[in-house]
Amino acid sequence: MAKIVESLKKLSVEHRTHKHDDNRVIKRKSELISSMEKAVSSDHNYILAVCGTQRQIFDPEFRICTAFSDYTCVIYSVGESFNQTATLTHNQAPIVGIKFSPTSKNILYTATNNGEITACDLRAKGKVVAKFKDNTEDGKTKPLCSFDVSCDEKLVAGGTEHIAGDAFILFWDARHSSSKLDDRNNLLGGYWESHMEDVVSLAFHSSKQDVLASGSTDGLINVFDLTQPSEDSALTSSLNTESSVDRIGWLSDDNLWCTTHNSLQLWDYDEVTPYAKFNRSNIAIFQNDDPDDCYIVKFHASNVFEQPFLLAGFSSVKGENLRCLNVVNNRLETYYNMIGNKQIVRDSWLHEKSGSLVTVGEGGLINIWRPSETVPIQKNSSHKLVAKIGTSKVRDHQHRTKPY
Amino acid sequence: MIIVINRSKVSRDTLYECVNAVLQHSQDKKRKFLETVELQIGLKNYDPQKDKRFSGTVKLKNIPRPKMQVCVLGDQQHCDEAKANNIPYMDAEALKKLNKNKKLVKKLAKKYDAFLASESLIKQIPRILGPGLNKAGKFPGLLSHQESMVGKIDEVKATIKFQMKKVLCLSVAVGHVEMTPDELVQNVHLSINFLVSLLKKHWQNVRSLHIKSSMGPPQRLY
Repeated sequence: MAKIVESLKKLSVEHRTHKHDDNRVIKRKSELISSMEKAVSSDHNYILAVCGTQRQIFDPEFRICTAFSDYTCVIYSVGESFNQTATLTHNQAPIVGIKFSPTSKNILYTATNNGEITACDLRAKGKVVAKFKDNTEDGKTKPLCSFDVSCDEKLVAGGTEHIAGDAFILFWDARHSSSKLDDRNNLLGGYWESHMEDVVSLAFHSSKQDVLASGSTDGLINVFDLTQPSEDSALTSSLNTESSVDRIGWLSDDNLWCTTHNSLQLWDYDEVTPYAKFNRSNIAIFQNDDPDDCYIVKFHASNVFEQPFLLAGFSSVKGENLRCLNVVNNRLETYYNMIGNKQIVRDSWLHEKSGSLVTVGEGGLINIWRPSETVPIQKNSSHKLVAKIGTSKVRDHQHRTKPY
Repeated sequence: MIIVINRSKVSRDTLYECVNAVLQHSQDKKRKFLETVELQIGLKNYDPQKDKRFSGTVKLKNIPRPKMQVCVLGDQQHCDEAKANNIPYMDAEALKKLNKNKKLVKKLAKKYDAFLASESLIKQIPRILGPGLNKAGKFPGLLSHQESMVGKIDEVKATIKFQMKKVLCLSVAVGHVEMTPDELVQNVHLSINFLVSLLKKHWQNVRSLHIKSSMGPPQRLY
């Protein structure tokens, strides 16, 4: 609590100096509280990734999938309660990515380091319904480090490690293999000229199915137009982060976010420099923060918390803190303090409808964070958040009382 | 109240001692080339399978690789400036002449250690040259008109990259044997601090630190 008060002071001081902010009411300071915490594994089994299902119009529940460092995936349904619904154990190598199908909550894609991407049907106890593998030539598989599925679910792309002088982005036809599960080659092709190191992050555009962005430890973000016949002409843009990319994603139609191991950069891919850049000393906004203790979890390009936000953690002997930070007038501001985090967080996922933020990490814990009800002062938005959570319950209630 | 805690575990004395030993060795046995001084790091309590691999770049105080060749891909103004400063440069026309020819682009990439490009050119690089520079890991950095060309080139030369791969050790060039002990100590110190800041548990993840010149024996710092 002391920290919040302190930051309030700090912020209000800053506000006086910023003319822009003068007509704003006092900065909203609220907390995200862990409404659920589940210890699902031992300390040595990290949870490396989490993803979930977004669009379920009449269903207040959502599904999340968690990927463990022992190669298993566990699926939970989250609503009023928290239930384990399935466990997938078919993977034989470290998981590098998980994603629910953009069109079905029952299909889950997983990608592993041994070069396989599989699609599982959760209705059939996680039966593997499609397998994407590079089975060209000498049978040597290329170790994957990233993957993504296009928004129309026609293409699956995988980014590989840098092996034998090349780092590949491989493409598969997602539809082709769903009919037949055999060893036939459904690889469409690949790019291997645009990166010189591991392709650690891939992101299809959220609405343009033919636009793909890739990020690599070589420090480049490349944007491709997949309608072009060759890699040369497909490469529309190269952005030099002058660091090494950890994760990328789309922020809007032309904007990308990129996290490196020690900074956040926001890019318009038609520009030559990031329009916003924050390093660890910008993220450590409180006086007691040591920038060295700070780590970046993920940027969320959702407007559920008013604006897209950065989830950042602070790990030290004093504890494991976690915060959501908004970008306001070229500065980062704490939007939510998250009270009660106990682990180094590795991944997070936001259920937009309920504003629930799911975090997973090295302590083998799953936390589901929801805004606290006691939100002070500030106008509309915060109430909207609370109301949003409320609505689903209310609707449920009405259904029950008026069945016709 | 701000408390600055110096977490460094390598004392100033040890640093100087090791740096001097490295320099002495290269003095005793002169080589026909400029020996590089590298920092070698051994890690512990780190599982590359599940702990996050890290990488990052840091700018050192003193240029570790003075012989690095940087080429400016410039607009008119930058080309003139490069010419005046005796810095290699190419303009858009010269790049277009390569005609996206893979061999020629590759040759260009090989010729220089790094590139810088003017704002108007950098966007066109993929279209003019194709992915050739990307492939070589030499996609240009931005050279703006607000900063000095020489300064920016020095910055490129002074920047080093740490990257942890699948193994628990890494090494990085932090200087050369013709630096003064002070310069070398500065570079080593900065590199160590940056590296340690990237590690999850900071010093608890460091097993060992050595410095060595290309041909000399390693000196243990930690």
